[in-house]
Amino acid sequence: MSTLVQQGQIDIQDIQVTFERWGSKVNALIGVNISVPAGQWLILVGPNGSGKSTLLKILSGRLTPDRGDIRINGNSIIGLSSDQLSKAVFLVHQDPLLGSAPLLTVYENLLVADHDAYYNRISRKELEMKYVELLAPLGLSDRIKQPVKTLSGGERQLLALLIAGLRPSSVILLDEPLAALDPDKTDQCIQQIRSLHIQGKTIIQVTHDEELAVSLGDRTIALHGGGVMHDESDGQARKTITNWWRKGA
Amino acid sequence: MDLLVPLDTGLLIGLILAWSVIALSVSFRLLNFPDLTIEGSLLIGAAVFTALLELKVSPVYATLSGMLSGALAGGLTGFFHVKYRINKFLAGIIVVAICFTASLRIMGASNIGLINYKTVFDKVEFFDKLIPNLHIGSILLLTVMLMLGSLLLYAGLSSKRGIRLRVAGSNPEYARSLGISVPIYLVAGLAFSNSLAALSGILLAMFQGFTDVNMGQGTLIIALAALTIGERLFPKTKVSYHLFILIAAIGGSILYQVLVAVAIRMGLAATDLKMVTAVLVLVVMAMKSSRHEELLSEEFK
Repeated sequence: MSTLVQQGQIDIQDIQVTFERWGSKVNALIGVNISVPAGQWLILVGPNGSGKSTLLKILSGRLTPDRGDIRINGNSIIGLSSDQLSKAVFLVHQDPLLGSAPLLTVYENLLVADHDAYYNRISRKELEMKYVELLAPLGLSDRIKQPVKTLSGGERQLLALLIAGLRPSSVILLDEPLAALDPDKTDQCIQQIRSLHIQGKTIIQVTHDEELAVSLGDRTIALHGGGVMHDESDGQARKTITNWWRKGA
Repeated sequence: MDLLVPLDTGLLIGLILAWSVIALSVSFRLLNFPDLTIEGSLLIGAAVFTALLELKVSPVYATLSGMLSGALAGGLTGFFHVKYRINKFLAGIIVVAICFTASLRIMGASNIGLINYKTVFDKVEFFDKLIPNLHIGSILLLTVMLMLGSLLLYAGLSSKRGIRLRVAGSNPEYARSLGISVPIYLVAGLAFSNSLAALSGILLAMFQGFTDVNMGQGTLIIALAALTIGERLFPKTKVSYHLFILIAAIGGSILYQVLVAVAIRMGLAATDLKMVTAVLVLVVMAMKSSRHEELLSEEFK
């Protein structure tokens, strides 16, 4: 598992998912093949029903595909236990309420996610100092002893992104993390995602914002009807995706 | 000194049943599992304890075995829920039914007296006789037990494993993404909380001098009422949620039992107790909610 933990090469191989809805079959994903090099920041776009959320569910282990495989550094993640999977992949939800334990304090939320702190004997004082340092740029250092439920939605999302940085997982999945945030908190969250990218994490981010879709990250993939419609890494070519989207996908 | 009687009775029963209220608060508030099993685990704990005393087993081992039987009942409820996806309430009801029959089988009778056996309360009999109408020794003994138990519980819930348990209860989806095995923590948490309810049953059997197969009935309502009162009346600011829950459970249990004892002392028939419980909870909820409304309206002025 050590290779799984340290790196972040993702190979999505021939993924197919079919749902049954009112007696008829719906193809959510049709033979999707995507290869994401370690450390890449991939933006996933597409209209509702294009298969983005289904793909994220499979990548986070919440859904098993009908066909195909997902490999991280060559190891299949399908059928892994939640413990093994958590060392490979971490998901930040769109809803900030889902990305933390609201009744626990900020300190406790950071401690439970901090892999190093959990498995090593580190004093509470040292840990508090470490977390205060991490929280300070987000303006949350004085909230360390407060329950997470007292934080605003934007502050909770910042905390969720901070938690993602503490996880040993080399792959971070972001399910529209910037939706419903004010401009200040959006900027702060983007900074947090950038710092995850600098840490060397492989990031797959789903967004509905057409500007962010081509301005953030290294590569943009547009999904449509359960398949890959566009896959662009070049700056100029990525902008064509915006035009495609504006024309109504 | 007659005035001390309701205080004495309320304190004694409140301190004994506080373990059940703590059990309910751990499962209901920290694990987010409305666990009905405590009615069964309180009974089976007392039944196993009594049956083992009859077999001349030492009271210490009998107590530990009684608590273990409660843990098994709680673990079974959790297992039914996580393994077969049985609804939380239904899983509890099934285990309560199992506990009732099992307790009857274990005891071999519906009622067994414990008058002939020495219990922990006999060790403090001398202090109990110091002040008329006030069992000072028993109250002190139960208080010390509860304080030590609560401190241990607080320390356990604050530990790394305790935090994982609370995360599993607070947000299971998030817990899974951290690699926490939610089913294991749920089953373990329910087993632990029900061992506390069983301890409550054992202490109750010792105190009243007998074990009856109907002694668990109504415990859930009493525990729920006590917890509601405690949560409403005790301030929750500046303390962690699990500490607040412990304080609310203990304080609520004592307060509720003292109020019930006062009501009975004032001439209320014991048959009206359930109505008293309902009114008491309603009054506390209404008092606190109108105060809350007041504060809210002041904020918006």
